[in-house]
This record gives sequence, structure tokens and C-alpha cells, in this order.
Amino acid sequence: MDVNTAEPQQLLERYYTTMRERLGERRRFERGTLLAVQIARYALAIGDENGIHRDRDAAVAAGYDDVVAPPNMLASIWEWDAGTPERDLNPDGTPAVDRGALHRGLRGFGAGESMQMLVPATAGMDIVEDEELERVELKHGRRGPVVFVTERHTFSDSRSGQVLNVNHRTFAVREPHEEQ
Amino acid sequence: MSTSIEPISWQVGDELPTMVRTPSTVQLFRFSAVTWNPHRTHYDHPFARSEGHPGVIVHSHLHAALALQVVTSQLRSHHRVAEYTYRVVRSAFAGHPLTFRATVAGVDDERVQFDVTEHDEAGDLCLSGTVTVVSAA
Repeated sequence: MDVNTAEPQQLLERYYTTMRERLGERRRFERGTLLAVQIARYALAIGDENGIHRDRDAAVAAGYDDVVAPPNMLASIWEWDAGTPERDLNPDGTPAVDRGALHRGLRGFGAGESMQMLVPATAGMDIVEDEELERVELKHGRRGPVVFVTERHTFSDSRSGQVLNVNHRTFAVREPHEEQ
Repeated sequence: MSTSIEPISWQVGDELPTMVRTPSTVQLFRFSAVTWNPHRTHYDHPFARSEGHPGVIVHSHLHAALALQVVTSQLRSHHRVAEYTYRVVRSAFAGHPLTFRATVAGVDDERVQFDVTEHDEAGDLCLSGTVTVVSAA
């Protein structure tokens, strides 16, 4: 199918079919060492001024080993490495690599999450992310068909072997149309 | 009943202080940068308008991070968030105030559960969720 000429409905059907075929697919990503400056910048970006996110002494006084990440930080990071070159982005700016290539011509948006935070993530941890595609559903709303995709992301610290948090993340993909 | 994860005494029905935040275009840019999120709808105003939006869109994860702070801003150092579930049901846009509320929905000896909401300036619900807090010890 030529994504440049295909109708949005065809693209959504292809997306749904392809994602259903991938149900259960598992991937592992080595995310690298979580840096204190990453945590401090994330906290600044969300407007959280608690010192435990930027001041090691404050974090240690609060019982942590080092500055601690805000609870949903790990789940929020889109790309952990250098990222996708601009030539490999979809027209909307999203990476057109792997599953992201299927988004071309469609619209995707975050729909919600369910997170269990087992161990706080602190600076110096070596983060590993395990991903599993656990649900793909086609629903019909008042704005037309929507594909809901749920992935399970498990973040761990490879040094200690501890699971830090488990995150069931749902995003929605639909045909483009004007917002109401 | 009230919870024993003192020194804060929470009871079902208690409301935490309301929090109002107005995400700016700078905040959205910084959130895109720090999460390395290249989606144009969060920083490219003409692109967002071409998609029918009145402005650049608040990231779903930023909705979640802001809503969580209505609870975490009230915690003591020996508390931590153990569970967080939320649904984003409506888009929000830079430059428009968002109001966050949290109400104690359940307590026992080990945890407190809060219902959290985010509404836009028209009073429409943008996010609803639950946050569970436990003692960090």
C-alpha cells in the first residue's frame, strides 16, 4: 500500500491488522544510566520544585540514595538515545521507524496509563526497559473508528536487578479530521 | 477511618488544595526537549492549527505529571506514590489554565487513595485518575 495515496480508512485498517499480528511481541531496550541532570531538567519542565529532584543532599535527607525521578518520568521519555534523524520522521514529526512508520497519515495520541511504582528511580541507576504489546482494540466512537493499543513497559535497574515500575500505556490512533 | 501514615491525617472525602497551572509554550517546548518527543503538535503552532487545534497541545504525559503534583505537593518525605492510573479524555492547549483537584477516596493502615481530576477553563474534564500513596519506609 502506498501511504501517500491510500485513504485514511485503509491506513487505519492496515494499522489495526498489523498491530494485531504483533500482539505479544516483546522487546528489550538498554536505556543507559539515569543522570541527575536528566531528572532535574524533567522536574523543572513539569514545574515540580521539590528539592529531592535536583539536590542530592535533600534527596539523601529524605531517604533516597541520590536525586529521585518524579514518579512518571521514566514513562514519559519518548526517545532515550540520540533519537531519530529528521529525514526519518513522519510529516507530523513522530519517528517513522518500526511501528512508527505505520502511523504515517494517521493521528496518534496518549489516552492513559496505569502505573505501579515499586522502587523510586534515582540517579546512577542503569535503566532497562522491557516492552510487550499486550492489547490492540478497534472501537467505534462518535468521531469514527479508533484503534487503542496498550503496551506494558517494565523498567528495571540492571545493577540491582530491581523492578522499578510497571506501566500499562494506552495510546489511540485514528483517521485525521478536524477537532470538535 | 483515618490513615496511620502520619503525620498527615487524611479521611475519606478530604479535599486537597486546588492547583491551577497554565502550561506555556516554553513549558511544552521544554517537556518535548527533556523527553526527546519530536511530535510537532506540541511546539509547531501552524502545524497544530492545520490539524484543527486552536494551539499547541499539552502532552498526555505532561497532563499526567501536572495532575500528580496536586497530590505529591502535599506529601511528606516518608510518603511515596505507589500507583497512578489516569485517562486523558480531552485535549488542552498552551496558554489556557487547567485546574487540578484531588479528593481522598480511600484509606487504610498502609495506603491512601486519591481521585484526581483536571478541568479546562470551560469546566470540561480533561483527565481523571487515581493516585495511591504509601509510606516509603
